[in-house]
Amino acid sequence: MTSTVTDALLLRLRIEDFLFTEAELLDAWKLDEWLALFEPDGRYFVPPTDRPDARDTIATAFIIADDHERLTGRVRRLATDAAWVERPRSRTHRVVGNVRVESGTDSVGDDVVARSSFIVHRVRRGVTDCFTGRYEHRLRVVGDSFRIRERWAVLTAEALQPTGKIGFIL
Amino acid sequence: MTIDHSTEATNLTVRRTGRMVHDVPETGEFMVHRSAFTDGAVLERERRNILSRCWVYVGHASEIPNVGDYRTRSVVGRQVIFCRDRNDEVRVLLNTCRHRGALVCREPQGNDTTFTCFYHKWQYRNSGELIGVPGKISFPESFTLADNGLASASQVETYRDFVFASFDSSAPPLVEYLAGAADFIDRIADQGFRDGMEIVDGAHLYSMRCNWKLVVENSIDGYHGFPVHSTYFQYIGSRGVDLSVGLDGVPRDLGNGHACLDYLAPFARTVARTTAPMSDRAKQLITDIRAEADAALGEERAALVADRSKNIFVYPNLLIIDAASLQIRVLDPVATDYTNISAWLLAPRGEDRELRQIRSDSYQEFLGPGGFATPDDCEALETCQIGYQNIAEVEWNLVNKGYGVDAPEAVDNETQIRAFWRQWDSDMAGGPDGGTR
Ligand code: FES
Ligand SMILES: [Fe+2]
Repeated sequence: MTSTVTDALLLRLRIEDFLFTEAELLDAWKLDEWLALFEPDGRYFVPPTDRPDARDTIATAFIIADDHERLTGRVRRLATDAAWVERPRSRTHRVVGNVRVESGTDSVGDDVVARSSFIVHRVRRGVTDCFTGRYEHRLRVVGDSFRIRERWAVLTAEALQPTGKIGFIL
Repeated sequence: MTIDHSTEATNLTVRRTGRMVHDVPETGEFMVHRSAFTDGAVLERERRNILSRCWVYVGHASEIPNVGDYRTRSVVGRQVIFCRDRNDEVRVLLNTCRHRGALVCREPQGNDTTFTCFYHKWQYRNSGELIGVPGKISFPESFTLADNGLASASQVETYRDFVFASFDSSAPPLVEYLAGAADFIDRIADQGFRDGMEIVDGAHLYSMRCNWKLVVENSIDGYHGFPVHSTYFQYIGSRGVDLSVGLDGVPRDLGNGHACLDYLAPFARTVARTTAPMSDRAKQLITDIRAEADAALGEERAALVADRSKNIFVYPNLLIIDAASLQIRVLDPVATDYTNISAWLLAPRGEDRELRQIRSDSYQEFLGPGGFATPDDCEALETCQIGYQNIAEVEWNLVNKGYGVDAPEAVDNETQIRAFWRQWDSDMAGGPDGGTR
């Protein structure tokens, strides 16, 4: 019994470490390193604010539903100096917490599902915007770390008002 | 010290005529005074002379398909209930209790035949009639249920499933108002030649920190496409889309302030244009649909409907972006420097899932708050708005590309933007009671 608890706790600590590292990479705009955290078919989703629980990206018009190729395109675009919305770049700062971990969930190949909460502040040209919501990371265990199969960022906001746009990686 | 006499002269003109649009066809001068974007009095006048008098877009009939369906939303600053009553009639009711004002419907959407204000429980039918008032006996005799139904838009009309309302009972019939825009709405609606068009679930609700008219200009502007969206074109190019097509077409003045950009473009179009990255199955389906369009609409019409892209502006609050995918974009001016935007993906009803996926991918890649293009438009417009802080020294915008120039009309001219401004200027010059329309 005691050892089970210890394993679960250890797993959560490792997941937290992974999520905190990810947050640090994003805030530092180290997007290539961030992209390397994904599986080769890893994906990134932001559902529309009026359908936060949507999962079917064909039945519902998502704000972002990147397959790995589009996600790579997103990172490449942000690396150019013509992604105007992020030139000059926003300063972002994110706090990730309330981490919960489920392991060995289902048949689709997720080894671990991590649910967490985020608060992301974006500061740019005199304006501070706040994004809050929940992350869901569907992860595969690779060696002593993890690779992202799916990364969901589900916003609390009812509308992107006044935040307006998600030009950075949420 | 040099004095710029030309600027001084035009400023005097503005002061004398009160006009914010300076239009001299002989010399090709066209300028818009920047106070049009910054002055609170201008927005108030726009609310009176334009937003309260024109036909404004409310929603698409497919959003409320069944009797009792409703959606609540803000339409040009008014809180409305967009619903279908028990006689299958589409209603645009003002969402405020006749008693002391509370919202009678507080859900974003649903299905109900009545709305009950929770404050003191007055109850209304979804056609507006007041049918229940608790403690009715203690109200004076002068108070009647019949006089106190929910207020409604003065007129509601539907054109090809696009529902419009006017808060002015003297507005002309919708079709007359739409003028040349009606034919372009047809070119959108006809894409549903099989079974009609529908709004896809999931709204993109966002905002820009800029004046609403900057969004109008930008949404039909062909001049900014390559400078602002080079990263988008690079991206679709990297996925194998042939960019040699370029953008080729013309801007159009559709009358009454409506305008559009009508062009051929390299984007995927699930009604007509296959692109290299598509699967063979998708290519075949699209080829079949395109052939069917010829049969259903006639070849000439099918080419206009299916092959050509069009960014359509229906004055004053609706944009239909039929470019990289098909988007309904609705503007709700909040402040001189802040605009709420609601956008929806529009598609043929019952579209094949793979094609819907392509439509949706194409939408997300260009459009919306997380796309590869719209956020850059936002940066352009927000920085224009900030630039207008220098209005004391730089008072005028130039909107004169292709004006009075002896050359064929081109996709990157500003003709369509001038058409918008002329109507705007004329409406703003009209008195509160008399119009120029
Ligand atoms: S305000 Fe609606 S019943 Fe009183
Ligand atoms: Fe644009």
